[in-house]
Amino acid sequence: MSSDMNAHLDPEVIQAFLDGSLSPAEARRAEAHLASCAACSKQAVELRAVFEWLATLPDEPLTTDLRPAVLRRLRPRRRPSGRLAWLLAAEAAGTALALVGAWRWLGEILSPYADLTSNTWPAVGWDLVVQVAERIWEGASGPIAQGMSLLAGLRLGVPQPAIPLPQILALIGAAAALWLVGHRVLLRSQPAPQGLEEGAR
Amino acid sequence: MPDSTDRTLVLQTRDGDVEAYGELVRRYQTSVFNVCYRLLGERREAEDLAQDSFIRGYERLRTFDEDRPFGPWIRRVAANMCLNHLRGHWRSMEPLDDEHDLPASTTVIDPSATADERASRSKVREAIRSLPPHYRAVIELRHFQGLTYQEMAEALSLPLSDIRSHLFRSRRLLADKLKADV
Repeated sequence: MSSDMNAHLDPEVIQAFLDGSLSPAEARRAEAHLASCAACSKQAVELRAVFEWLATLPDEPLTTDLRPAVLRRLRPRRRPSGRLAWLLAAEAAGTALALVGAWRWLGEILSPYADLTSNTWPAVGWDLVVQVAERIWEGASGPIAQGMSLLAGLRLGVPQPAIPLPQILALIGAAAALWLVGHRVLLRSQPAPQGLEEGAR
Repeated sequence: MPDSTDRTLVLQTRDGDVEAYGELVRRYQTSVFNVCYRLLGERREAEDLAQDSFIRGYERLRTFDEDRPFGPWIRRVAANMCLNHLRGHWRSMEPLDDEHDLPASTTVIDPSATADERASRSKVREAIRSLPPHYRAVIELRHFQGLTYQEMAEALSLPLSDIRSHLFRSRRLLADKLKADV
């Protein structure tokens, strides 16, 4: 800032005065100059008007709720909370049980056909694939009842599985239900809809 | 949850409660959007950057001091996001003058304001939008975020002398544009 009271103030000094970033001594000198210099005072008034326009500018309303999009982007990366950890563990256990059951059941079903191939179980030969495909085709080409009887015939023709089919289906169903709950597809808490508002600076 | 303090919501979010963060988004989305809107000047882009700012805030929540107010922090995150976004553009952008065409404004009408107030605010917004991005940045940081010259210099990686001159020129441009209109 010029020490000569007759020289005009540097415009950036006027700005610094309005911003309150001058030292107390510099501020006193600037204030005294502004009180006596019409040209500098006019600049200060114009700049101060900008301060006031900006200070009174209200927030523009937001017409879209950003929450759904933000939460959608956050959910996949969220770590399981303690509350859900046991559900995920149960899900894993149920899935493992269902897989073991299904494997054993499939083994029982397919074991009579093992002699169709020169390999030992669980290798599956081309002949077996063809035979199974033919049976499925027969079932699919006839009426539903015919298909059902074919399925019944398939089951009657082989030893009963170690775990009955209904139980296996129940296991798979339970695993699926746990998976859906664990991933919050089922039993998900729904926040009550609220207005956008808030956001005071 | 609407009655919870920001501090409680921050702590719940850190414990894995995403819905708690949703409540913080509800509280601050308007002001965060406005930071982006003032800096970017385009509503759709501002909404996208506001979303990104909340995602960044969530990722950095562990670095946030929960004893400080959340609002200024998340607005600062938004300002930084927008400044990074603009940084790629502004070196190649010359200050706009009155001869340049600006994209049409999409200001939402505030029913509580009088017609004169609405017109006046609209002109102030248009004047801000007409500034080149680096001038918009200093106006935002000084007038709306309340940063000191030194903090602005750090935020924008510019010397103090540039901050002073950018600030002065941007205010001068606004004064020239507005004194006849408002």
